[in-house]
Amino acid sequence: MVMLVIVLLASIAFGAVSISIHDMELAVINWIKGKEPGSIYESVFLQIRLPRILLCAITGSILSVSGVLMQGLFRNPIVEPGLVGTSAGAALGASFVFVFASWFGAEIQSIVGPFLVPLFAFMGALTATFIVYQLSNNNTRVSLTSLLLVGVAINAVALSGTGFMTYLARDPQARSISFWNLGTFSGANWFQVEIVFLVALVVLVISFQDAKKLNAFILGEEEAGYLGIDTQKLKRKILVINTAMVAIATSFVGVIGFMGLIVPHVMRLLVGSDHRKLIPASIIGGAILLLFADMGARLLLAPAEIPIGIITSLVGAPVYILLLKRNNFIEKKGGEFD
Amino acid sequence: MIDLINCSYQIQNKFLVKEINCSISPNELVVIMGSNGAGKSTLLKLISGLLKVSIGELLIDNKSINKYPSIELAIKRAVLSQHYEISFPLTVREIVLMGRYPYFKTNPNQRDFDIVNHVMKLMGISEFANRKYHTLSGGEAQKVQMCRVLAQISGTEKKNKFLLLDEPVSHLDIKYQYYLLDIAKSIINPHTTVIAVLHDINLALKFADRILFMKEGQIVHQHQKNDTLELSVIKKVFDVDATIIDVHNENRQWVCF
Repeated sequence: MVMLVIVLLASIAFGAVSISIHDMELAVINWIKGKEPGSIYESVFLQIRLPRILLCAITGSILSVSGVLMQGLFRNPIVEPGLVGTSAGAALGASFVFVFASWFGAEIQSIVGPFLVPLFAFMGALTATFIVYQLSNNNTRVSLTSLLLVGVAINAVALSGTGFMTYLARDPQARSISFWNLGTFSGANWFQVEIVFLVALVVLVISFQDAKKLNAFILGEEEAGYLGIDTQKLKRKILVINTAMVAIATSFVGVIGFMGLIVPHVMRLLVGSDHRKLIPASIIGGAILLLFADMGARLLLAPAEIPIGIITSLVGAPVYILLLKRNNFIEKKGGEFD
Repeated sequence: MIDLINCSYQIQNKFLVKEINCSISPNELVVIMGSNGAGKSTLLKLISGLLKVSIGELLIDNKSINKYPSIELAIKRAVLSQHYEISFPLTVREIVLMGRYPYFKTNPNQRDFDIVNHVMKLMGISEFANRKYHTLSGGEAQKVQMCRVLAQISGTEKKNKFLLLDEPVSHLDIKYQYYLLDIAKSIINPHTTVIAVLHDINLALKFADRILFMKEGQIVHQHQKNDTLELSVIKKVFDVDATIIDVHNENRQWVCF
């Protein structure tokens, strides 16, 4: 918790424009008093930096908890939130807008312009996940194996759709698509923070209630049923929660890889596999890690920005392999990856 | 009290369990036996509520099993399976505590901890309560799971409880087999019933109060504890020739194949 506060402050301070603690104080005091910001630093802090790092922290939490929930549900440590098509669907929706935005006409664009990409990304995310869910739904029973397999297929379809959009796109549009697929917080504003915060709040509270049930899932689906858990209901609930979280976060900031995969692993090493501890730990740990990644994105080539997805994947993948090597419980038991 | 009234279970047109009529009362260790595909595990899954009876009625304490909410069923019965593959590392204590999950909402109370400690002492696993489950041997792991199901049906209130064992000892060595079944036998009382699927006829003869022999989804023979087992039953159920030896000083029979 203390660490989170420190990283939050550090994230605010460092950037293309440095902001001192004093500026932050002034800005907050002026804001409370209802005055206009006194300096350019205060404006940058209030209008750009603060919403950005808040959006970043919440997104980090959301993606990490999604990872915890999905890995718990699938009883598999290599599952990530995008598995059921959510982020690939969002990417397809967003790239559709990048390519065909001009079709909507200038008037519509001027009204809904800034919301067009998030809207279509969100719809794409929901549609893809819904298709996966429907196809793996067999007589009111959802089998986790078929979810996984259908997920792979729909991901491939969405990916090829995005590829086709990129092919159709002119150069600047194609660049927009690739940037979006690597994620960025540079467009963050208070409206996005509010929406993501509200969704995160509701959904995280719900996921706390399922911590115990996910623990039982560690024993197996049947065993969880013997412990009095309605496993079909739990599956549906977690899929809905996961979709809501990933769709909302992704539609604003683009696709950020590896967070939902790696944070649960790190946190499991720190606090163990009990979901009652793992979920809160991932909320904090996810926020911290993504703030670090965002700082890296802003500072490494400052004043230019690297897309954050590049950082998370570049740093995430080796860390992930390191963890797999060290955390050899899987190898001991064997079979889990066979 | 478990009453099976004309119970059948079918998948498409195939009956896995067919027209079973049987009552199982408390204070009994009932063993279900039969060759592979005879419907033993299916019958156990019907009694556990995991599968729903297609035709007929299954009553638990005079109430249809379908009328029990899953959480009430979890307080009434526990199921021990043959083998567990856990997906993430947990300590032994955390696994045993899962047996108390039906009893608390988010945090266990002192009584839950007391029960967990008690069953771990009973099974002699207290000393590795904080070890990671996946580092245990097969026998130790099965002891932990036994603790978990014992914790699940523990309670001071005088309500009927059922422990269902689905081939619990099939891959354990003899010492653990005897140990586990001794424990199962010891918890039987006027409120507790144990129903086990076993493969070893001699183990069944040693521990069971009653043996239900199944073939092609039906109960073809019931053997009470002090009955004399006929060779014809063995031939009919398992389709092998055997010899039966009387173990005089233990007053039981021994089947040699």
